[in-house]
Amino acid sequence: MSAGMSDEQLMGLIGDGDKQAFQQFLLRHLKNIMRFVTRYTGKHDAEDIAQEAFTRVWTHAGTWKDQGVSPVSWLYRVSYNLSMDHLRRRKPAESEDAIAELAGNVQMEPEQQAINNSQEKLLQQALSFLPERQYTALTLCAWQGLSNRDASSIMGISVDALESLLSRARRSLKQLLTETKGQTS
Amino acid sequence: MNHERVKTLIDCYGADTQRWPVEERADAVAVLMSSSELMAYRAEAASLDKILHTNGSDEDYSALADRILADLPRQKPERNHKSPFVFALAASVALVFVTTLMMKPELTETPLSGTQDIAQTEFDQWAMEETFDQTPIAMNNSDEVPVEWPFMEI
Repeated sequence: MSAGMSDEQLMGLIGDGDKQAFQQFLLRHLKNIMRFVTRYTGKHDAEDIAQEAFTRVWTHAGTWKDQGVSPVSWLYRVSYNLSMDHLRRRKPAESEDAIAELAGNVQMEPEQQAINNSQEKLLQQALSFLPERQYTALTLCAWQGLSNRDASSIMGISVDALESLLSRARRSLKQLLTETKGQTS
Repeated sequence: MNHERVKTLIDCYGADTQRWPVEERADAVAVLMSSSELMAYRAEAASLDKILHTNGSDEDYSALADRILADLPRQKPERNHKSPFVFALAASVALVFVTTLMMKPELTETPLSGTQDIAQTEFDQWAMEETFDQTPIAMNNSDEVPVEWPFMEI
């Protein structure tokens, strides 16, 4: 099997029960899906959600049709919906823990505290304050590298609405990063 | 493509032109290159991009991939196409339906139109009486306006 196969071609094979094609699709997207989902749910739950999302690809690939929505957009939409369902089911206290974990505000050892001041941690902290929709838009476009059409399709909004979210997200993030830097220095 | 749209693209997608929508990219880059103001605006956005693309730890998900592969359920048997059995069943049902219609032609006839007309006339009269508490004024074919219109009394 060619490693250069497109996602659409792989989906066709997966629909016919080709496990090798599924493995290739899985290895191609698992890391990004984990990064995407982890930001909502924490690592442990993200693994369960990623497993459920890829299992749905396997079981539903036979009914997937190329109608302008790419397989990867479909995968992100499933992962996004599963993450939102997970957050809704979660108890409020658990959600607060997840947010604290995301923001890097949990109790840490001194050496970890030093790492907390790194740029990555600052970014995580600032991101945790972004509204969910702005955060999702930014994640899909800036980190996952999806096109504006794919990202808007995943979120169920227009490209204009997506651009509005992206613009506000970047503006908020810039402001939050400036404030967070000011507090830690 | 104008300056404002290029600024919007920078605001939304950042300084890296490769992240801009592909259908607008060429025109936008041409406008960008012709403006020092836009170049400065883009440089400012690049500092946020640098922070945004700070990569976290590169985790290994091979164990998770193995688990997903090991736990895969059986695939659903049906694909986009229906099985021949479904087509055969649908064709049989259609054939029985058509045969039934051909054997009982009276089912396809319309009801007696005369009866329908009488019923409609009686209903109209009853409705007028109920509404205006009197029999409707008989209309003749002349252009003469009736002396009293029932609804003028209300």
